Amino acid sequence: MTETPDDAWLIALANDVCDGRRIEWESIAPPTATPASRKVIAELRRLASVVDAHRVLGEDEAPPAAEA
Amino acid sequence: MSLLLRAQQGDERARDELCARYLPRLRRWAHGRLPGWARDHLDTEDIVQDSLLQSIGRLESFSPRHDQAFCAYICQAIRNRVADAVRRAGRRPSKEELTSGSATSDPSPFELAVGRETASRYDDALQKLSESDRELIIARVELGLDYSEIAALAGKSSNGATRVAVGRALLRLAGVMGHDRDA
Repeated sequence: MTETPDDAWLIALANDVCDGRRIEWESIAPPTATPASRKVIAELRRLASVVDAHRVLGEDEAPPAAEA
Repeated sequence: MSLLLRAQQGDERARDELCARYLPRLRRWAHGRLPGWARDHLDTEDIVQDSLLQSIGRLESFSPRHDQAFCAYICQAIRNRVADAVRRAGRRPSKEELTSGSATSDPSPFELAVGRETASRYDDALQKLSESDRELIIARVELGLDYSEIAALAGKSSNGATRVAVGRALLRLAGVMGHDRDA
């Protein structure tokens, strides 16, 4: 297996995915991005849906706020 | 010293803190990750609580390769307990369950949200990561721990270093998913 690219901008993007930040996927890759980096971005985009699902499902189950 | 290490050494306050910190998150996780059939027919609340208390009770003999593997350990313990309970219940399914096949084909809320293929590829790739990377993903993505909580659990001094470690782990997960897609 080839090594996964881990440039600083990709790590920052991965953290944005983990943090559930909104990402403009169509324009996120810099012009210098390699094919390997673009492939990782495509998978990160899929993983963003996994992160979002876990967050939303967790919110659905959160106990109701106490009434004042 | 990490929260986990203090709990392993018998610190009751650390054990109570582990329980208070993870029980609500594990309940939410189980709700999203277990199929509807399991949630309808098993007392998953009890399974989650028992699994957590048992895992904390066994901390003295818990010897992961990394200090950080507690979240993955607990989640796997819950999965195992549910699988055992489903197998036991499967020996005496109701007529409706037999005809609908719901005991085996019912998707979880997570599978419904992302699709079965994505859910399966994510789970498969997660199992191929190192123990430490898998733990970081489960802690951050599945249980929703923030970086300071992950750092405290793992005994890391820096939230920034934890954040970078989580980012790298997610990149490696993306790399494995891409590799599997090509295979």
